[in-house]
Amino acid sequence: MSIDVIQPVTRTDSAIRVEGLTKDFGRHRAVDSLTFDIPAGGVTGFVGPNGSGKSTTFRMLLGLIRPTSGNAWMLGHPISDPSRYIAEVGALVESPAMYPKLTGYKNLLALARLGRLPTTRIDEVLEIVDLTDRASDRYENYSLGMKQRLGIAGALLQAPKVLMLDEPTNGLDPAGTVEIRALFRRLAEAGTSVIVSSHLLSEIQAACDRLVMIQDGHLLFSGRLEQLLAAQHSTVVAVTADPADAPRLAQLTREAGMSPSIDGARIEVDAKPDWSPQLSRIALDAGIVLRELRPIEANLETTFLDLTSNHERNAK
Amino acid sequence: MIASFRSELVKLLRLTTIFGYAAAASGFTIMLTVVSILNADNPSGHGPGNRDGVSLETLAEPGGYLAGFESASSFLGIVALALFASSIAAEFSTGTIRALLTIDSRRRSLLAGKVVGLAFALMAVVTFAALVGATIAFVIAGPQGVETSAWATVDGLSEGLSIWANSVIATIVWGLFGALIAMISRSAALSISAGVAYFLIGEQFILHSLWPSTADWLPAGVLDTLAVGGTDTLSYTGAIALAGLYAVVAYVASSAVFERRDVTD
Repeated sequence: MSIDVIQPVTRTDSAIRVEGLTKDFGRHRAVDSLTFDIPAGGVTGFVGPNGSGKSTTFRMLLGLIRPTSGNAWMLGHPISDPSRYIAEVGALVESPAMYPKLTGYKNLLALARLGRLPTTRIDEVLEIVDLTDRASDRYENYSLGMKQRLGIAGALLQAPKVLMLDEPTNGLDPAGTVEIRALFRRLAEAGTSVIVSSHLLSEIQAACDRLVMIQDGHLLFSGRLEQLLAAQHSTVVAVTADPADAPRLAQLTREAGMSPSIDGARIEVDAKPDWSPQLSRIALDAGIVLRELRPIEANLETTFLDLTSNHERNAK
Repeated sequence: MIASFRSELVKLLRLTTIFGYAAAASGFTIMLTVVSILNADNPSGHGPGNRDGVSLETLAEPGGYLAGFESASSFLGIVALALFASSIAAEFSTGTIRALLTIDSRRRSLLAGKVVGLAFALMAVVTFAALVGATIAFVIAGPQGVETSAWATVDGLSEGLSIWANSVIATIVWGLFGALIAMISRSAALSISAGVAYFLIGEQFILHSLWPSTADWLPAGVLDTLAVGGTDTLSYTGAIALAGLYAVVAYVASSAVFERRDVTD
């Protein structure tokens, strides 16, 4: 598939708009002319292999590092002046960073005071991330999952319009992961634009409705998740009970206009999942017994691997 | 800046944070107080501006009870440098600086609040050391034959406050140098060792091997002079002016480095 499925950047309701954003560290180009647009609301996944420039892009958007060239806008404000939008943005960049000797509550208090936020908000976010009972424990005694929850609580303190989280489910147990995913959905439904970076593609697929995919600092895709997956080829796999029937079934599918591949008793047809009943009927009409009939839908993992390997080939 | 200051206080008001620095400053002050009183038996000894010793005559002056504290000025300066440097460098090494900047991105006001917070913490440390030094002096001076009648007077209190204030100002300037080095290096260990190496060795090397004429101008000398209220070669006013200049330079340079630095930690 094409790797240039990029949405136009002319929206006026963008939470984040990026145009030609580039960052060099010495002679290394970490981010190369990124252009994408994230509309307000919804959950957007920000994915790419390690070292692809995800955190660098986050940092530029948050005003932590300056771009070498290009520009971007957060909530309509240029990133050259983060003070105009940072109070409406919550962020967790890379791992949570808190004062180890302070309690969870005191860590949030330090952030709340800096943001001139009422202390009642601390109790609210502790409740949201289910840390109220452990708020008086020192941060250094927290488990990885609890540290992650506290980092998310810190990002939620300002009741942000844009929430940017780097690997937010890192260290969480399965129940915690489901809770946090549900939290993202609730926030998105309430109008918050949630941007989640993760290397867990199944997690992204389950939680996100939009996607920005980058590799080596280049944009691979930006748009709706289903748009990406629909463009990927899915297959239908049939396995005949008698391997001797496989060539005959392959011939019949060819006659039906498809291009099957055959491997022993296994026949694989490039087709949408809804072609499965048709293949079943062809086998039934021919008196061929199937041991297995399975549609294989494109998933984010295979799509990601396809896109990144295409990119690597093109780069060579 | 006020928000940043209040935020910094949450971190600094942990008693154990301040206690370590207060214990170091007080320990050294106690040692110098005891040594100065026990060794002050030579009427021809030198004054506190000269580190060779403190005479009985000097100890009998209204501010004599803080002579040991006054002699500890260089060490207190190193404590200040370590406090500022470790606090600021730790923000980078632990990554907390990025958490702070994603709440308030105005770097100058963030730094200003931190510096003011650290200055308050330092003032508490120096005050504690002064009180401990004075207490020890009052306890051991009598049995050692030191004349203390001028100590517990209005003049004594006034002189003591003056010594304390000079020490606070001098240590804050030391701290600002620590902040600058930390901002550049982003490493507590490197900042403290570089700062101590310059103030204890580097400046002595410059004075004795390169430009002896800079004795009254270089930072460590100026701050020592300020802490003891002036010397024959550099007046108190001159020391205050130079210390102020160094403070402004160190703070503006720290602020400029922070403003331009990419936060990649």
